[in-house]
Amino acid sequence: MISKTSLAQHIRHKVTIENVIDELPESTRRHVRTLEFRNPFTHEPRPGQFVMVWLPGVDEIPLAISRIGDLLAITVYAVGDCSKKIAALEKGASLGVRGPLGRGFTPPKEGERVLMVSGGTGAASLLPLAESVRRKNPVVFVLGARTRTELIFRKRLESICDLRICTDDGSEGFKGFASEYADKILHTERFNRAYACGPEAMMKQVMVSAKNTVTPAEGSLDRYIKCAMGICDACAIGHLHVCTDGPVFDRDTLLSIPEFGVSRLSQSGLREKIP
Amino acid sequence: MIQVELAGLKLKNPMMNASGVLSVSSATLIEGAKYAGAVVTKSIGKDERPGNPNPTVVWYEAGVLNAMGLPNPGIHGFIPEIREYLASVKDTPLICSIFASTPEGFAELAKIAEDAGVHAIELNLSCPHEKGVGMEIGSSPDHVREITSAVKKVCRVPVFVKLTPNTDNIVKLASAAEDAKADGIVAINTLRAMHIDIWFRRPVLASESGIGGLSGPAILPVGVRCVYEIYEAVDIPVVGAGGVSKWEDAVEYILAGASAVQVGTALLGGNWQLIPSMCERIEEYMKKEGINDFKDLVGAAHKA
Repeated sequence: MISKTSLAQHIRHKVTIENVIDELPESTRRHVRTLEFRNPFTHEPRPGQFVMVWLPGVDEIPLAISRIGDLLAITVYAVGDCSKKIAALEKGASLGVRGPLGRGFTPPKEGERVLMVSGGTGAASLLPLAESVRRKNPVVFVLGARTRTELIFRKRLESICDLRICTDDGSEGFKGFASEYADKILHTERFNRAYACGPEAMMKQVMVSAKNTVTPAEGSLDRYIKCAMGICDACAIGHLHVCTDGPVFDRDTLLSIPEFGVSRLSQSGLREKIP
Repeated sequence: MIQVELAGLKLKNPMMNASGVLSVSSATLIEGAKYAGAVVTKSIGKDERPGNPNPTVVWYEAGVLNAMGLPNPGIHGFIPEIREYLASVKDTPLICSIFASTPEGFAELAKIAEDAGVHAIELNLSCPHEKGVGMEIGSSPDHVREITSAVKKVCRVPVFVKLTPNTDNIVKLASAAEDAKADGIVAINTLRAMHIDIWFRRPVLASESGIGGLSGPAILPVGVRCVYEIYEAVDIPVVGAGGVSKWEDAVEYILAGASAVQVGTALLGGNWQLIPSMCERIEEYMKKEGINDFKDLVGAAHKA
């Protein structure tokens, strides 16, 4: 059996933050920030993979890789204690990172017309995929947010794909969830493949729409991750683990897991409903 | 298949997971039951507990260090997982690991778990890095005796006592458990250890002390020695644990005196399939060595 993870992926590297980018205007209540650092790993990450980011004395949390190249980036939404502290770091600060971890997105075949659907900060893991396939695949990117000032990566996406904007409040583009818009165009436009990342209820809708339109699809899950090596069971979903079997799972796997979009394990291991 | 009987439990093979490894979610335990002779839950306490912040795990050349900090949903939060397991698995015993800080606390948890339907209890007297529980109370033969005795008074299902190697005399602990009518011993838990990141110049594990427990191949010889010593001193069955990553390691434990073997770190990556593949190789070994009965293998190193 091929091991799902290796020792080399779990060495903690100390990296220096080379650049910081604020992704949302200052007036927005939410704080989303991208931090760039030189790739310390022996391998280049694949789109959809994640890193465990260690802020010594605070915590270590999983974050999607939002840029791939000599410089890697993580994009953090300041929501918890650790993510707030990471988002507050400035150029020159240090972080520990291990990775790249997990199973990324399956790349589309050359020429396939691709749909990407994101909600909130879910765009962080889809952006490197869009960037990596842009020369070989037409990409329609559905970027969803609560309101127009919370749309992230808009400029980077506009230049590389057919960007469709959705806002919950209708302040720009389609009024409604990204999944509702995706359902509409999956039925009216032809796509060879779909990818989704965002709130789990939204992803579940996209997977259902993809199944109804016989479109191969994958979604990337977010869970409380501790060991990141498939041993502690903190990120269990069904009999699988988000850290080593995911975070990206194919449509049928996701739809076969009763917990998908329904429940998850908390930090203690208590099963809780997904809001 | 090497079927074994362990303290009255019927196991389809002599291998199980070690507590804390792949043992929180019922779906994971149900998956494990396809492969293992029994499955052991994460250590469960009375109240919900988030555990330590990350990093909780370090993997490096010598093995794996962890300081999870006994995260668990609390016994009442865990009962739905127990019920789901019992509703879907019929042929693989579920062993519930529990931890508390007093004999009464252990007895209360054991009774709740037994009432929920678990087939056996494992007493965690050996977690190496949390205050007031685990090895802090499990390093004294008197405490081991009191706790075991309190649990045995209220429980009908078999009770296993998991011991710490972080002591000057694990044999005395095992004898104390046997005196108190324990049904079996599990040896060993992890070894107290530390890893320091040289670039950040600090311990990596986020436990208060920076200390965690070492598991993996490095601790195999320590575990085999412990089981060998315990087997000579007690008549109750011993379950070997610590550093098993290939079939030969499991056979070492069995020859030292283990009636069953737990696998922990080697299941990394959700690798339950390792268990049946080891069992197959152990069967081949028995054939090759002309041993028909698994019982003849248990403790065979002592007769040589």
